[in-house]
Amino acid sequence: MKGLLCKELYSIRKYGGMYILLMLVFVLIAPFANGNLFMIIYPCVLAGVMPTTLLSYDERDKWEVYSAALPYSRAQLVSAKYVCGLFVQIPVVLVTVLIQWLRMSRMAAFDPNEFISLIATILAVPLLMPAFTLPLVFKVGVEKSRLAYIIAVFAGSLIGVYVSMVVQADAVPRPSSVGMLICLVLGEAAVYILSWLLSIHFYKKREFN
Amino acid sequence: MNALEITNLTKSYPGFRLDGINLTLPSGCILGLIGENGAGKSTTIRLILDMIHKDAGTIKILGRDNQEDLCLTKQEIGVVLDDAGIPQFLNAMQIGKIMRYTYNRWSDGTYAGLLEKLSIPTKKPFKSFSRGMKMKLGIAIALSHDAKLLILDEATNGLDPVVRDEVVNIFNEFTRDASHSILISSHIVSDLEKLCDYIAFLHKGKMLICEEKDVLLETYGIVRGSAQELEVLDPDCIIHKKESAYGVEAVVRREQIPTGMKIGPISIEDLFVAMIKEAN
Repeated sequence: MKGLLCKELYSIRKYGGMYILLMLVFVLIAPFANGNLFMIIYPCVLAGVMPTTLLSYDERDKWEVYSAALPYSRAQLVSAKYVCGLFVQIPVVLVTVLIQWLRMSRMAAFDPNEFISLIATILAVPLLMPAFTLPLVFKVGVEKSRLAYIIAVFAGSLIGVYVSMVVQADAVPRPSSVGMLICLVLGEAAVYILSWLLSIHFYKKREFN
Repeated sequence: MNALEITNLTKSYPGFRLDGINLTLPSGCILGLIGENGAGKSTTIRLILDMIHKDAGTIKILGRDNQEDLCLTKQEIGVVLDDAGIPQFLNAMQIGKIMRYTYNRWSDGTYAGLLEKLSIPTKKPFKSFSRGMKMKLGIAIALSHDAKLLILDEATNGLDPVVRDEVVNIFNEFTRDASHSILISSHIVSDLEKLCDYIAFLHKGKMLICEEKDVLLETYGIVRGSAQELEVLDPDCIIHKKESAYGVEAVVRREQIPTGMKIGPISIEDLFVAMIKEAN
Protein backbone atom coordinates (compact mmCIF):
# COMPACT_ATOMS: atom_id res chain seq x y z
CA MET A 1 0.00 0.00 0.00
CA LYS A 2 3.00 2.29 0.59
CA GLY A 3 3.75 2.22 -3.15
CA LEU A 4 0.18 3.22 -3.98
CA LEU A 5 0.27 6.12 -1.52
CA CYS A 6 3.62 7.20 -2.94
CA LYS A 7 2.02 7.25 -6.42
CA GLU A 8 -1.00 9.21 -5.10
CA LEU A 9 1.28 11.82 -3.53
CA TYR A 10 3.05 12.25 -6.87
CA SER A 11 -0.39 12.61 -8.51
CA ILE A 12 -1.55 15.20 -5.96
CA ARG A 13 1.67 17.13 -6.50
CA LYS A 14 1.19 17.06 -10.28
CA TYR A 15 -2.58 17.48 -10.72
CA GLY A 16 -3.62 18.89 -7.36
CA GLY A 17 -1.35 21.95 -7.49
CA MET A 18 -4.00 24.24 -8.97
CA TYR A 19 -6.63 22.88 -6.57
CA ILE A 20 -4.37 23.48 -3.58
CA LEU A 21 -3.61 27.02 -4.76
CA LEU A 22 -7.35 27.73 -5.18
CA MET A 23 -8.05 26.26 -1.75
CA LEU A 24 -5.40 28.50 -0.21
CA VAL A 25 -6.79 31.58 -1.96
CA PHE A 26 -10.33 30.85 -0.77
CA VAL A 27 -9.21 29.96 2.76
CA LEU A 28 -7.31 33.25 2.98
CA ILE A 29 -10.02 35.51 1.53
CA ALA A 30 -12.93 33.80 3.34
CA PRO A 31 -12.38 35.77 6.61
CA PHE A 32 -13.01 38.99 4.69
CA ALA A 33 -16.20 37.72 3.05
CA ASN A 34 -18.52 38.51 5.97
CA GLY A 35 -19.30 34.88 6.68
CA ASN A 36 -20.33 34.11 3.09
CA LEU A 37 -20.96 30.36 3.23
CA PHE A 38 -19.83 29.74 -0.36
CA MET A 39 -16.44 31.32 0.29
CA ILE A 40 -16.01 29.26 3.47
CA ILE A 41 -17.15 25.97 1.96
CA TYR A 42 -15.57 26.13 -1.50
CA PRO A 43 -12.07 24.94 -0.45
CA CYS A 44 -13.79 21.96 1.20
CA VAL A 45 -15.68 21.22 -2.05
CA LEU A 46 -12.35 21.24 -3.92
CA ALA A 47 -10.86 18.88 -1.33
CA GLY A 48 -13.92 16.62 -1.70
CA VAL A 49 -13.52 16.21 -5.47
CA MET A 50 -9.79 15.42 -5.26
CA PRO A 51 -10.13 11.57 -5.18
CA THR A 52 -12.39 11.58 -8.26
CA THR A 53 -10.02 13.94 -10.07
CA LEU A 54 -7.11 11.56 -9.39
CA LEU A 55 -9.20 8.59 -10.52
CA SER A 56 -10.00 10.30 -13.80
CA TYR A 57 -6.27 10.76 -14.53
CA ASP A 58 -5.66 7.11 -13.59
CA GLU A 59 -8.36 6.05 -16.03
CA ARG A 60 -6.86 8.17 -18.81
CA ASP A 61 -3.36 6.76 -18.22
CA LYS A 62 -4.70 3.16 -17.80
CA TRP A 63 -3.05 3.04 -14.39
CA GLU A 64 -6.17 1.37 -13.00
CA VAL A 65 -5.56 -1.55 -15.43
CA TYR A 66 -1.84 -1.78 -14.70
CA SER A 67 -2.31 -1.47 -10.94
CA ALA A 68 -4.75 -4.40 -11.06
CA ALA A 69 -1.81 -6.51 -12.27
CA LEU A 70 0.44 -5.37 -9.40
CA PRO A 71 0.60 -7.17 -6.03
CA TYR A 72 -2.21 -5.14 -4.46
CA SER A 73 -5.66 -6.29 -3.43
CA ARG A 74 -8.69 -4.46 -4.76
CA ALA A 75 -9.34 -3.26 -1.20
CA GLN A 76 -5.88 -1.65 -1.09
CA LEU A 77 -6.40 0.03 -4.47
CA VAL A 78 -9.67 1.57 -3.24
CA SER A 79 -8.26 2.45 0.18
CA ALA A 80 -5.36 4.38 -1.36
CA LYS A 81 -7.86 6.82 -2.89
CA TYR A 82 -9.88 7.22 0.32
CA VAL A 83 -6.72 7.69 2.40
CA CYS A 84 -5.22 10.21 -0.02
CA GLY A 85 -8.59 12.00 0.00
CA LEU A 86 -8.21 12.33 3.76
CA PHE A 87 -4.63 13.62 3.29
CA VAL A 88 -6.14 16.61 1.48
CA GLN A 89 -9.49 16.92 3.29
CA ILE A 90 -8.21 16.92 6.89
CA PRO A 91 -5.71 19.82 6.54
CA VAL A 92 -8.26 21.87 4.53
CA VAL A 93 -10.93 21.31 7.22
CA LEU A 94 -8.50 22.13 10.04
CA VAL A 95 -7.24 25.31 8.38
CA THR A 96 -10.80 26.41 7.45
CA VAL A 97 -12.05 25.81 11.01
CA LEU A 98 -9.05 27.61 12.51
CA ILE A 99 -9.49 30.65 10.26
CA GLN A 100 -13.23 30.81 10.91
CA TRP A 101 -12.60 30.53 14.67
CA LEU A 102 -10.11 33.42 14.44
CA ARG A 103 -12.62 35.45 12.37
CA MET A 104 -15.53 34.79 14.71
CA SER A 105 -13.55 35.27 17.92
CA ARG A 106 -12.58 38.76 16.72
CA MET A 107 -16.25 39.64 16.37
CA ALA A 108 -17.91 41.47 19.23
CA ALA A 109 -20.53 38.81 19.87
CA PHE A 110 -18.98 35.39 19.39
CA ASP A 111 -21.80 32.86 19.03
CA PRO A 112 -20.50 29.39 19.99
CA ASN A 113 -23.64 27.73 18.60
CA GLU A 114 -23.09 29.34 15.21
CA PHE A 115 -19.45 28.25 15.28
CA ILE A 116 -20.40 24.65 16.10
CA SER A 117 -22.95 24.49 13.29
CA LEU A 118 -20.35 25.95 10.93
CA ILE A 119 -17.88 23.21 11.91
CA ALA A 120 -20.55 20.59 11.20
CA THR A 121 -21.08 22.05 7.71
CA ILE A 122 -17.35 22.41 7.01
CA LEU A 123 -16.81 18.76 7.96
CA ALA A 124 -19.81 17.47 6.04
CA VAL A 125 -18.85 18.81 2.62
CA PRO A 126 -15.43 17.18 2.01
CA LEU A 127 -16.47 13.93 3.68
CA LEU A 128 -19.97 13.42 2.29
CA MET A 129 -19.33 14.54 -1.28
CA PRO A 130 -16.83 11.76 -2.04
CA ALA A 131 -18.77 9.36 0.18
CA PHE A 132 -21.80 9.62 -2.11
CA THR A 133 -19.97 9.74 -5.42
CA LEU A 134 -16.97 7.40 -5.10
CA PRO A 135 -18.84 4.06 -4.90
CA LEU A 136 -20.38 4.72 -8.32
CA VAL A 137 -17.04 5.84 -9.72
CA PHE A 138 -15.42 2.63 -8.47
CA LYS A 139 -18.29 0.57 -9.87
CA VAL A 140 -18.34 1.85 -13.45
CA GLY A 141 -15.35 4.18 -13.81
CA VAL A 142 -15.09 7.96 -13.98
CA GLU A 143 -16.11 8.31 -17.61
CA LYS A 144 -19.30 6.27 -17.31
CA SER A 145 -20.27 7.79 -13.99
CA ARG A 146 -19.67 11.38 -15.08
CA LEU A 147 -23.34 12.23 -15.64
CA ALA A 148 -24.41 10.62 -12.38
CA TYR A 149 -21.52 12.41 -10.67
CA ILE A 150 -22.61 15.81 -12.00
CA ILE A 151 -26.20 15.10 -10.92
CA ALA A 152 -25.00 14.03 -7.46
CA VAL A 153 -22.85 17.15 -7.01
CA PHE A 154 -25.67 19.38 -8.28
CA ALA A 155 -28.25 17.66 -6.03
CA GLY A 156 -25.84 17.88 -3.09
CA SER A 157 -25.34 21.60 -3.70
CA LEU A 158 -29.12 22.18 -3.89
CA ILE A 159 -29.67 20.22 -0.68
CA GLY A 160 -26.83 22.19 0.95
CA VAL A 161 -28.35 25.54 -0.08
CA TYR A 162 -31.81 24.39 1.08
CA VAL A 163 -30.48 23.14 4.42
CA SER A 164 -28.52 26.35 5.02
CA MET A 165 -31.65 28.41 4.23
CA VAL A 166 -33.74 26.31 6.60
CA VAL A 167 -31.06 26.49 9.29
CA GLN A 168 -30.68 30.25 8.86
CA ALA A 169 -34.46 30.60 9.19
CA ASP A 170 -34.16 28.66 12.47
CA ALA A 171 -36.72 26.14 11.20
CA VAL A 172 -34.61 23.25 12.46
CA PRO A 173 -32.40 23.16 15.54
CA ARG A 174 -28.72 23.85 14.83
CA PRO A 175 -26.14 21.61 16.43
CA SER A 176 -25.68 23.71 19.51
CA SER A 177 -23.55 21.62 21.79
CA VAL A 178 -20.24 19.84 21.56
CA GLY A 179 -22.11 16.57 22.19
CA MET A 180 -24.32 17.12 19.15
CA LEU A 181 -21.31 18.07 17.08
CA ILE A 182 -19.55 14.85 18.07
CA CYS A 183 -22.67 12.88 17.08
CA LEU A 184 -22.72 14.63 13.70
CA VAL A 185 -19.03 14.03 13.13
CA LEU A 186 -19.42 10.37 14.04
CA GLY A 187 -22.40 10.12 11.68
CA GLU A 188 -20.41 11.68 8.84
CA ALA A 189 -17.46 9.40 9.57
CA ALA A 190 -19.81 6.39 9.52
CA VAL A 191 -21.15 7.42 6.09
CA TYR A 192 -17.55 7.83 4.83
CA ILE A 193 -16.58 4.37 6.12
CA LEU A 194 -19.73 2.79 4.66
CA SER A 195 -18.92 4.41 1.33
CA TRP A 196 -15.34 3.06 1.58
CA LEU A 197 -16.64 -0.49 2.17
CA LEU A 198 -19.20 -0.20 -0.63
CA SER A 199 -16.49 1.00 -3.03
CA ILE A 200 -14.33 -2.02 -2.13
CA HIS A 201 -17.33 -4.30 -2.73
CA PHE A 202 -17.95 -2.77 -6.18
CA TYR A 203 -14.26 -2.67 -7.14
CA LYS A 204 -13.79 -6.36 -6.35
CA LYS A 205 -16.37 -7.12 -9.04
CA ARG A 206 -14.91 -4.72 -11.59
CA GLU A 207 -13.23 -6.19 -14.67
CA PHE A 208 -10.26 -4.58 -16.40
CA ASN A 209 -10.26 -5.37 -20.10
CA MET B 1 6.95 -27.70 -11.10
CA ASN B 2 4.87 -25.96 -13.73
CA ALA B 3 4.99 -22.19 -13.74
CA LEU B 4 1.49 -22.06 -15.11
CA GLU B 5 -1.32 -24.60 -15.39
CA ILE B 6 -4.61 -23.60 -16.95
CA THR B 7 -7.44 -26.08 -17.11
CA ASN B 8 -10.73 -25.65 -18.94
CA LEU B 9 -10.63 -21.86 -18.65
CA THR B 10 -13.84 -20.29 -19.87
CA LYS B 11 -15.04 -16.72 -20.10
CA SER B 12 -17.99 -15.37 -22.05
CA TYR B 13 -18.74 -11.88 -23.26
CA PRO B 14 -21.48 -10.82 -25.64
CA GLY B 15 -20.07 -11.85 -29.03
CA PHE B 16 -16.97 -13.61 -27.69
CA ARG B 17 -16.26 -16.78 -25.75
CA LEU B 18 -12.93 -18.04 -24.47
CA ASP B 19 -13.75 -21.68 -24.67
CA GLY B 20 -12.23 -24.26 -22.32
CA ILE B 21 -8.58 -23.25 -22.64
CA ASN B 22 -5.97 -25.74 -21.43
CA LEU B 23 -2.35 -24.67 -21.22
CA THR B 24 0.76 -25.72 -19.30
CA LEU B 25 4.00 -23.80 -19.02
CA PRO B 26 6.81 -25.82 -17.41
CA SER B 27 9.32 -23.94 -15.25
CA GLY B 28 12.37 -22.69 -17.11
CA CYS B 29 10.51 -22.41 -20.40
CA ILE B 30 9.04 -19.72 -22.62
CA LEU B 31 5.55 -20.17 -24.00
CA GLY B 32 4.33 -18.03 -26.86
CA LEU B 33 0.63 -17.34 -27.07
CA ILE B 34 -0.07 -16.62 -30.70
CA GLY B 35 -3.32 -15.40 -32.17
CA GLU B 36 -4.89 -12.78 -34.36
CA ASN B 37 -6.22 -9.58 -32.84
CA GLY B 38 -9.29 -10.51 -30.82
CA ALA B 39 -8.35 -14.19 -30.54
CA GLY B 40 -8.42 -14.05 -26.73
CA LYS B 41 -4.73 -13.59 -25.82
CA SER B 42 -5.22 -10.55 -23.62
CA THR B 43 -8.37 -12.07 -22.11
CA THR B 44 -6.36 -15.17 -21.15
CA ILE B 45 -3.60 -13.05 -19.59
CA ARG B 46 -6.07 -10.89 -17.67
CA LEU B 47 -7.84 -13.99 -16.40
CA ILE B 48 -4.51 -15.36 -15.17
CA LEU B 49 -3.91 -12.12 -13.24
CA ASP B 50 -7.56 -12.09 -12.04
CA MET B 51 -8.06 -8.69 -13.64
CA ILE B 52 -11.23 -10.19 -15.09
CA HIS B 53 -13.23 -12.97 -13.49
CA LYS B 54 -13.41 -16.43 -15.04
CA ASP B 55 -16.71 -18.23 -15.64
CA ALA B 56 -15.16 -21.69 -15.19
CA GLY B 57 -11.86 -23.52 -14.99
CA THR B 58 -8.77 -23.38 -12.80
CA ILE B 59 -5.57 -21.37 -13.01
CA LYS B 60 -2.48 -22.33 -11.06
CA ILE B 61 0.46 -19.93 -10.99
CA LEU B 62 3.75 -21.26 -9.56
CA GLY B 63 1.77 -24.10 -8.00
CA ARG B 64 -0.82 -21.86 -6.30
CA ASP B 65 -4.44 -21.32 -7.33
CA ASN B 66 -4.88 -17.76 -8.55
CA GLN B 67 -7.89 -17.32 -6.28
CA GLU B 68 -5.75 -17.83 -3.16
CA ASP B 69 -3.21 -15.26 -1.95
CA LEU B 70 -2.84 -13.77 -5.41
CA CYS B 71 -1.07 -10.68 -4.00
CA LEU B 72 1.63 -12.98 -2.65
CA THR B 73 1.87 -14.79 -6.00
CA LYS B 74 2.01 -11.49 -7.89
CA GLN B 75 5.15 -10.60 -5.94
CA GLU B 76 6.76 -13.32 -8.07
CA ILE B 77 5.27 -12.21 -11.38
CA GLY B 78 6.62 -9.51 -13.66
CA VAL B 79 3.93 -8.06 -15.91
CA VAL B 80 4.13 -5.99 -19.08
CA LEU B 81 0.78 -5.06 -20.58
CA ASP B 82 0.02 -3.90 -24.09
CA ASP B 83 -0.89 -0.43 -22.80
CA ALA B 84 1.93 0.05 -20.34
CA GLY B 85 -0.41 1.80 -17.87
CA ILE B 86 2.19 3.98 -16.19
CA PRO B 87 1.03 7.50 -15.24
CA GLN B 88 2.08 9.90 -17.99
CA PHE B 89 3.73 12.49 -15.76
CA LEU B 90 6.05 10.11 -13.88
CA ASN B 91 9.68 9.61 -14.83
CA ALA B 92 11.64 6.37 -14.54
CA MET B 93 13.15 7.37 -11.18
CA GLN B 94 9.76 8.11 -9.64
CA ILE B 95 8.35 4.86 -11.01
CA GLY B 96 11.31 3.05 -9.46
CA LYS B 97 10.46 4.59 -6.09
CA ILE B 98 6.81 3.46 -6.34
CA MET B 99 7.87 -0.06 -7.31
CA ARG B 100 10.43 -0.20 -4.46
CA TYR B 101 7.48 0.16 -2.07
CA THR B 102 5.37 -2.28 -4.12
CA TYR B 103 7.62 -5.33 -4.52
CA ASN B 104 9.25 -7.01 -1.52
CA ARG B 105 12.31 -8.06 -3.51
CA TRP B 106 12.72 -4.92 -5.60
CA SER B 107 16.33 -4.20 -6.52
CA ASP B 108 17.30 -0.59 -7.19
CA GLY B 109 20.63 -1.82 -8.58
CA THR B 110 19.02 -4.17 -11.11
CA TYR B 111 16.55 -1.47 -12.16
CA ALA B 112 19.27 1.16 -12.61
CA GLY B 113 21.34 -1.36 -14.60
CA LEU B 114 18.43 -2.18 -16.90
CA LEU B 115 17.59 1.50 -17.44
CA GLU B 116 21.17 2.04 -18.53
CA LYS B 117 21.35 -1.13 -20.64
CA LEU B 118 18.09 -0.32 -22.44
CA SER B 119 19.00 3.41 -22.78
CA ILE B 120 15.90 4.58 -20.93
CA PRO B 121 16.08 8.22 -19.79
CA THR B 122 15.63 8.54 -16.03
CA LYS B 123 14.34 12.12 -15.79
CA LYS B 124 11.99 12.38 -18.79
CA PRO B 125 8.25 11.96 -18.16
CA PHE B 126 6.65 8.77 -19.43
CA LYS B 127 4.42 10.71 -21.84
CA SER B 128 7.45 11.80 -23.85
CA PHE B 129 8.53 8.18 -24.46
CA SER B 130 8.06 6.41 -27.80
CA ARG B 131 6.01 3.20 -27.72
CA GLY B 132 9.20 1.15 -27.85
CA MET B 133 10.66 3.10 -24.94
CA LYS B 134 7.46 2.60 -22.92
CA MET B 135 7.63 -1.14 -23.51
CA LYS B 136 11.31 -1.20 -22.51
CA LEU B 137 10.51 0.59 -19.26
CA GLY B 138 7.74 -1.94 -18.58
CA ILE B 139 10.23 -4.75 -19.18
CA ALA B 140 12.80 -3.11 -16.88
CA ILE B 141 10.19 -2.94 -14.09
CA ALA B 142 9.15 -6.56 -14.67
CA LEU B 143 12.75 -7.74 -14.42
CA SER B 144 13.77 -5.76 -11.33
CA HIS B 145 12.01 -7.59 -8.54
CA ASP B 146 13.37 -11.12 -8.87
CA ALA B 147 10.23 -12.43 -10.60
CA LYS B 148 9.93 -16.14 -11.31
CA LEU B 149 7.34 -15.73 -14.03
CA LEU B 150 7.11 -12.99 -16.64
CA ILE B 151 3.73 -12.36 -18.25
CA LEU B 152 4.12 -10.20 -21.33
CA ASP B 153 1.13 -9.06 -23.34
CA GLU B 154 2.26 -7.90 -26.79
CA ALA B 155 5.43 -6.61 -25.13
CA THR B 156 7.62 -6.71 -28.22
CA ASN B 157 5.16 -4.83 -30.44
CA GLY B 158 6.44 -1.43 -31.47
CA LEU B 159 10.08 -2.25 -30.82
CA ASP B 160 12.55 -1.69 -33.63
CA PRO B 161 14.46 -4.80 -34.78
CA VAL B 162 17.65 -3.89 -32.88
CA VAL B 163 15.86 -3.29 -29.58
CA ARG B 164 13.68 -6.36 -30.17
CA ASP B 165 16.82 -8.45 -30.54
CA GLU B 166 18.19 -6.90 -27.34
CA VAL B 167 14.98 -7.67 -25.48
CA VAL B 168 14.90 -11.24 -26.81
CA ASN B 169 18.44 -11.70 -25.44
CA ILE B 170 17.33 -10.37 -22.06
CA PHE B 171 14.44 -12.85 -21.99
CA ASN B 172 16.73 -15.70 -22.98
CA GLU B 173 19.13 -14.72 -20.21
CA PHE B 174 16.20 -14.62 -17.77
CA THR B 175 15.18 -18.20 -18.54
CA ARG B 176 18.71 -19.53 -18.07
CA ASP B 177 17.63 -19.94 -14.46
CA ALA B 178 15.53 -23.12 -14.44
CA SER B 179 13.03 -21.59 -12.02
CA HIS B 180 12.26 -18.69 -14.38
CA SER B 181 9.53 -18.84 -17.03
CA ILE B 182 7.86 -16.54 -19.52
CA LEU B 183 4.38 -16.39 -21.00
CA ILE B 184 4.44 -14.01 -23.92
CA SER B 185 1.60 -13.16 -26.28
CA SER B 186 1.93 -11.61 -29.69
CA HIS B 187 0.40 -11.59 -33.12
CA ILE B 188 3.89 -11.11 -34.58
CA VAL B 189 4.79 -14.76 -34.91
CA SER B 190 8.39 -14.23 -36.01
CA ASP B 191 9.17 -12.68 -32.59
CA LEU B 192 7.99 -15.73 -30.76
CA GLU B 193 9.48 -18.24 -33.18
CA LYS B 194 12.99 -17.17 -32.15
CA LEU B 195 12.24 -17.04 -28.47
CA CYS B 196 9.82 -19.75 -27.43
CA ASP B 197 10.13 -23.35 -26.30
CA TYR B 198 6.37 -23.87 -26.40
CA ILE B 199 3.80 -22.48 -28.78
CA ALA B 200 0.05 -22.11 -28.29
CA PHE B 201 -2.27 -21.01 -31.09
CA LEU B 202 -5.47 -19.23 -30.09
CA HIS B 203 -8.19 -18.62 -32.62
CA LYS B 204 -11.57 -17.03 -31.90
CA GLY B 205 -11.34 -18.01 -28.24
CA LYS B 206 -10.36 -21.61 -28.90
CA MET B 207 -6.97 -23.24 -28.38
CA LEU B 208 -6.00 -24.80 -31.70
CA ILE B 209 -2.78 -26.30 -30.43
CA CYS B 210 -0.37 -26.05 -27.49
CA GLU B 211 2.87 -27.94 -28.03
CA GLU B 212 6.65 -27.80 -27.82
CA LYS B 213 8.01 -25.74 -30.72
CA ASP B 214 10.47 -28.44 -31.78
CA VAL B 215 7.71 -31.06 -31.77
CA LEU B 216 5.61 -28.83 -34.02
CA LEU B 217 8.51 -28.33 -36.42
CA GLU B 218 9.15 -32.10 -36.46
CA THR B 219 5.47 -32.98 -36.85
CA TYR B 220 4.56 -30.62 -39.66
CA GLY B 221 6.14 -29.80 -42.98
CA ILE B 222 5.44 -28.39 -46.42
CA VAL B 223 4.98 -30.42 -49.57
CA ARG B 224 5.20 -28.65 -52.91
CA GLY B 225 4.25 -29.99 -56.30
CA SER B 226 1.61 -30.05 -58.98
CA ALA B 227 -2.04 -30.72 -58.16
CA GLN B 228 -1.64 -34.20 -59.67
CA GLU B 229 1.43 -35.03 -57.57
CA LEU B 230 -0.35 -34.05 -54.40
CA GLU B 231 -3.45 -36.10 -55.19
CA VAL B 232 -1.77 -39.18 -53.68
CA LEU B 233 -1.77 -37.54 -50.25
CA ASP B 234 -4.24 -38.73 -47.64
CA PRO B 235 -6.65 -35.75 -47.18
CA ASP B 236 -6.42 -36.29 -43.39
CA CYS B 237 -2.72 -35.39 -43.37
CA ILE B 238 -3.25 -32.05 -45.10
CA ILE B 239 -3.68 -29.13 -42.73
CA HIS B 240 -4.10 -26.56 -45.47
CA LYS B 241 -3.53 -26.38 -49.19
CA LYS B 242 -2.66 -23.30 -51.22
CA GLU B 243 -3.02 -23.45 -54.97
CA SER B 244 -1.40 -20.99 -57.34
CA ALA B 245 -0.32 -20.76 -60.97
CA TYR B 246 3.04 -22.25 -59.95
CA GLY B 247 1.61 -25.34 -58.30
CA VAL B 248 0.26 -26.47 -54.98
CA GLU B 249 1.78 -25.96 -51.54
CA ALA B 250 0.36 -28.08 -48.74
CA VAL B 251 1.04 -27.93 -45.02
CA VAL B 252 1.05 -31.56 -43.93
CA ARG B 253 1.60 -33.94 -41.03
CA ARG B 254 4.95 -35.56 -41.81
CA GLU B 255 4.21 -39.04 -40.46
CA GLN B 256 1.35 -39.60 -42.91
CA ILE B 257 3.33 -38.67 -46.02
CA PRO B 258 4.30 -41.53 -48.35
CA THR B 259 7.98 -42.50 -48.15
CA GLY B 260 10.12 -40.84 -50.75
CA MET B 261 8.02 -37.72 -51.04
CA LYS B 262 10.07 -34.61 -50.38
CA ILE B 263 8.91 -32.62 -47.33
CA GLY B 264 10.27 -29.14 -46.70
CA PRO B 265 10.66 -27.54 -43.27
CA ILE B 266 7.89 -25.29 -42.03
CA SER B 267 8.07 -22.10 -40.01
CA ILE B 268 5.79 -21.49 -37.04
CA GLU B 269 4.34 -18.53 -38.92
CA ASP B 270 3.39 -20.70 -41.93
CA LEU B 271 1.92 -23.35 -39.64
CA PHE B 272 -0.07 -20.70 -37.75
CA VAL B 273 -1.46 -19.19 -40.96
CA ALA B 274 -2.35 -22.65 -42.30
CA MET B 275 -4.16 -23.65 -39.13
CA ILE B 276 -6.07 -20.36 -38.93
CA LYS B 277 -7.12 -20.58 -42.58
CA GLU B 278 -8.26 -24.14 -42.12
CA ALA B 279 -10.16 -23.22 -38.96
CA ASN B 280 -11.87 -20.41 -40.84
